[in-house]
Amino acid sequence: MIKTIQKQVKFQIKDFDIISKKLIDLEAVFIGGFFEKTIRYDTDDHCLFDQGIFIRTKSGLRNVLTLKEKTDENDNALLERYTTEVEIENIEKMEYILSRMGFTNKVIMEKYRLYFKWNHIEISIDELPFGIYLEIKGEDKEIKKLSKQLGFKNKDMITVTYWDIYDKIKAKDSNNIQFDKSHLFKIATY
Amino acid sequence: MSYMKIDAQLIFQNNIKFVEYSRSGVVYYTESLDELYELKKIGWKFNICNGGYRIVPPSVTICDITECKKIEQYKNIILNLAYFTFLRKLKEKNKLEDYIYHVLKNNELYYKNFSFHVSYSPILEAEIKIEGVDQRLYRLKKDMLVEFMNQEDYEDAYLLSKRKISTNKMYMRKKENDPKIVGFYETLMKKNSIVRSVNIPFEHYQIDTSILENLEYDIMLFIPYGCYKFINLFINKNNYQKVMFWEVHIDQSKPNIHKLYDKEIRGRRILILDSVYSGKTLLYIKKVIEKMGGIPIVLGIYPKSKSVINILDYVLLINRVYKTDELDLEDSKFFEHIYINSCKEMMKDDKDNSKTSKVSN
Repeated sequence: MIKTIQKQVKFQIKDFDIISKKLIDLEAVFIGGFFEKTIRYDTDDHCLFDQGIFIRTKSGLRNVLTLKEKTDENDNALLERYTTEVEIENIEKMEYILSRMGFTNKVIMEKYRLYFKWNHIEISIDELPFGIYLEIKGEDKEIKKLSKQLGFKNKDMITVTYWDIYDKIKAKDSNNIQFDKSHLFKIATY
Repeated sequence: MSYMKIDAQLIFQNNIKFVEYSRSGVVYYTESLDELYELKKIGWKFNICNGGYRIVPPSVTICDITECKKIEQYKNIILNLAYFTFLRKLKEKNKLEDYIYHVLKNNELYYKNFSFHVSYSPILEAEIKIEGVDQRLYRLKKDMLVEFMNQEDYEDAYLLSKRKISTNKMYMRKKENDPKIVGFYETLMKKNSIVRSVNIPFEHYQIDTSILENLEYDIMLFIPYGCYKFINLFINKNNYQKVMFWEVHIDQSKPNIHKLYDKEIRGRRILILDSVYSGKTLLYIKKVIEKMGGIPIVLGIYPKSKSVINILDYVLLINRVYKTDELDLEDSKFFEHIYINSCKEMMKDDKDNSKTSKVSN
């Protein structure tokens, strides 16, 4: 299978301690914490964005090149993307190749991620410069079951990307989501 | 300026030996600052010794069932036991390396030119430790866990462990609020800062030291610098004035230089506390104390084998101090049983606390 449908949902976390306690009670397994840097590439006239296609490199747990495509129909209120991913050895070299292909418009996103597994579900707690979020990836039923068990309500569901959230709340001109040098990480010592 | 490029993988593979603390591992001695510079860049650690630099590669504890922090590293004490049992069986059958090669093969691109070494020793019964040529070791640790969770029989292994430990809990922690103790730690950190930075956390695991309540001793002897990681487990307002520090190394390449709050030893009862792997340091200091006319009582912290427990008077295992002659060291699953009992007691304490709070409500 070349591409898979990835389904996910996010929730904003107000109290990290409560969520981490709930994950322990649910017997989630903590795989590890790591700093992640994602770079999204496009042409200067945003031709990929206009087609609902996103190319990005990500360093963190693994170095990967990912192609995300919007799905045609999305009737279950989760964020859905066709995802095609390959592991790469060198992010800088891939960045050079992409820029020579015309993808010179770059936006950066930094986050600190705590990564858990619960049954077949992937759970991430992400600290971004504008807040802490919980992201759940998996099958519809399991996502909804886990969301409920963690005490979230349907109305709290966020089904857009971090880029979209940032676009709405950003105070700066920059499209890059990057930590200030003075940022005090709240979850990095977990 | 150019110099000979180093081959870290070759250095790693050529220097696997039985190191001074009685386990197999990689230690490399060199006088070359160029080599030190290159190895440090990829995560190796060093100390200055008589022959130049003593350099060791990155190492990680994949699984451990004796100390709270390591038990909790995956935030799931049920999984920790299942994973330990799985890895121990592989190690006993000499198949742990094959398992790791399989994990590396799944990510050939990332792990190109990567070398690892599983540390072997009779003193590593309760811990699985591996070393790697560079920082990719930290990702390997995660990949090994994910591979375990993807195994066909993972669910059975987990359920088996869950039958022994019904609920996932983390060990109790306590924040140090006593101003005298807080002040004592601050002074310790300040004094040490002249030569080396030391951090004593004000929050620590709550351990049961009740067995030491009736023990008479005049001095608590800690051995820097390892002791600063666990000193807060034992210090209270009744004993902090008895504390003394004495840096001792059996490794002849390291100097013995550190003494703090020095006290008269002769004729006094000395409770020696130190983390223990091979037990050589504790036996050495015990002899020194005896020679000086003191009466040593030895408390070993988080030993990884039963044979080492035999040389101790008291032992800290997980969250409780035990008198060693009261332990059943003939039990072939001794560490697993201590682990399961500590988990059960945690549940029991929780039930008792909830009953008390219901009554008081």
